[in-house]
Amino acid sequence: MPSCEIRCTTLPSSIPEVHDRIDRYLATMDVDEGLSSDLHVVIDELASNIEKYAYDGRPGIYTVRIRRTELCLEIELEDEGKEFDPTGVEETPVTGDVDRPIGHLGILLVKRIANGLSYSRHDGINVTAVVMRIPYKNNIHEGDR
Amino acid sequence: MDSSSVGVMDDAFRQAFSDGALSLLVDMSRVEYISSGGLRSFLLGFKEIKKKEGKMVLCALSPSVSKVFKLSGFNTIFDIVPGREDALVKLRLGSP
Repeated sequence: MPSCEIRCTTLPSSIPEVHDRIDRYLATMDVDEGLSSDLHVVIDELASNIEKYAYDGRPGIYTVRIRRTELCLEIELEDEGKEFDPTGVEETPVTGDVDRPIGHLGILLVKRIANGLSYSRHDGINVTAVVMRIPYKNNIHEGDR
Repeated sequence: MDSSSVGVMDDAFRQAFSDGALSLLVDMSRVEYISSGGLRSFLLGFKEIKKKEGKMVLCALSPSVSKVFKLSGFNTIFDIVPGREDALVKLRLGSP
């Protein structure tokens, strides 16, 4: 099964290149268009968190690895910033009250889009892992259900 | 619309408000996906237009963008319609 590794900086200017590499990787396999959009959102959110929390807004390096298995995409983001466990944050779901503060909206999206989110830290390296199930191309889009 | 492109949306709202816009139709047909940075930009735009007692209607959301609005709960805040014509009708009628 094909895999993909992207090493990049947390600078916003590097984001289009990351998305471009993801698109090229996904083009090598027969996956649903919705999965591609979901993957972009998940990686954008996790990369933003690395920039904001692991590196405190300072430029840093992180690595994205994507591996396809028969049924899933397995995604890992690694960084050498300070310890930050995205699974431990408490998200505040949005309601009709627009004046209510919104907390960790990005993590809320990742948790609701992905089929699994985990975190570990080894030798000063944060590893955030996500699993996303691959729908068959002719399946009904999840968002339309 | 990701963390690198969200500034474009912020600027578009800023420009519209400085031009005195009170009715905003946002055609999302060319947005392939949207992350939380994009949602926050929309929320700020929505709060601003509410303050001015104006209206904002979103139309032509792709299934992926629509999914993110639903998962985040933003579909409970925004007026979302299928197409441009529906959006124009909403804005003309000024219905809530």
